[in-house]
Amino acid sequence: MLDEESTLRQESAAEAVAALLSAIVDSSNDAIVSKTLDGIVTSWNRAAEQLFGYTAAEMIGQSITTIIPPELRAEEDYVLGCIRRGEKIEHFETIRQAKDGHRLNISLTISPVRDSRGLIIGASKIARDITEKKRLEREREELLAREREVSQRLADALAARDELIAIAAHELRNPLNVFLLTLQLLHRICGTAAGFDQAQRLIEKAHRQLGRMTTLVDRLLDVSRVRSGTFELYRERFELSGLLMEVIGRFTSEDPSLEIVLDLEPGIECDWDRIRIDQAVTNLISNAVKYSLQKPIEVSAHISCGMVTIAVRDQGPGISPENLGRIFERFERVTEQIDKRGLGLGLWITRQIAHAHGGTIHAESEFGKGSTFVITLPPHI
Amino acid sequence: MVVEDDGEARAFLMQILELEGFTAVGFANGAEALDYLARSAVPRLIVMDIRMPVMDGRQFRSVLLQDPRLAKIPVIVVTALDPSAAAGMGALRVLRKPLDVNALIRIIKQRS
Repeated sequence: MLDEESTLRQESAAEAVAALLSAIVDSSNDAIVSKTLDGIVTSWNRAAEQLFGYTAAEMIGQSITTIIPPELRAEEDYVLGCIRRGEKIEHFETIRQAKDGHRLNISLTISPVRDSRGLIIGASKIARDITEKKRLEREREELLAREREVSQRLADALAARDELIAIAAHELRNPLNVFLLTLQLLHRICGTAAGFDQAQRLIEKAHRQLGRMTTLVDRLLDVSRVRSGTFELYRERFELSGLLMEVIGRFTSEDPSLEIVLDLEPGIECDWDRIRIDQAVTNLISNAVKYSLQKPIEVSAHISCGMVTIAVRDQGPGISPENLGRIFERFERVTEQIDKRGLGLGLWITRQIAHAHGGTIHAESEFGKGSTFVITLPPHI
Repeated sequence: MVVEDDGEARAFLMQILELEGFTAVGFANGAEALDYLARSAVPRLIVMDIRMPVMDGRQFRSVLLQDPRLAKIPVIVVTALDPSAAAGMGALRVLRKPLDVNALIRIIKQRS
């Protein structure tokens, strides 16, 4: 009698413990499932139903691969291999597929289940939905990547600015050097008879050096204006061939031996920023003079199909195809043999001027046969 | 000897040196200067730029230092670059552009 009562009490206590454990499993927010060593589901708690969309009735007796995406099914072999060896797998991050097809990022903890003899009979799996955590991680990565990109662009911009300042400082020192030498020489020769004639020439040269420095300073300012968006045009009506003759006249009075062939269509009325167009054409002719190797330069202006084209052609060494693509960029100087002076901004600024007038500039060149630079603008902006 | 690729700067500096009583020869780059040095007496002093086409100041100085006859010619570097660009050239002095000729002349006279 006593043995029977004791046994009944023990069985009742065991049932109570089992019921308690079952309630704990069922009330957990994490999906807790169990399966055999063949991967057949043997239990499926309420949280698993909510997470995966399958009821316990639908999953118990079915393969756990039901919720594993096809491309990840090999994982199950790995998991079962570990379980059979008695190993626990913790915080295994992977992807599972719910009944409605949507995918979840989950973190799995899988433990071997042993019978009373200690033999491994299956596995228990606790699955935690980490989809939101993964989404936040991805978002954070994207933000960090964007921040790195912005930082890099800022660093590049600062480096470009520093480079400009360094180049400008260097380039301004050379004409300043000649200017100061001129003054120091003038100071020494003043008052001597022989010095008088030279003095006049020296003063003219000093004047040209000042002009050169002014151009350099203006180019630096233009770069700054373009970058800050304050590159504005002051438009006025004028006849194009008149402006071109004026520009060409400045070159030929400085160097009467210069040969410039003209093909200017008369009567082209424009509504442009005269000073800026003067600057652009002066720059193109200046380059042509530099690279023409004493051969004639051609300047032409025509209007066709409502667009004005101004072309400057030299018969110099030409520009190679790989350099042709970058000559309008800042600081680019394709000056291997001839003259390394200058900021490398002239063509870049000329292009800004063309764009500001609603037009374009392009270069045509054949290496060894010269180059033609063509500005194409609408006569009125 | 004045080695400077800017023609006007070279001509003016030579003229000033001559007005100060020195005899000056001038070249546009290191190669031309070496060509002269190979067939002429060594100058008392060389005033050189760094950035020059064909053969720049550093290359020129390097060749000078390899020849015992030329290595002992004192060199003054005149440059638009940062003075650190002359590091390792073994120059007597490094002067920056725009050049104060009076300072150059003082240095030359101190060497005499």
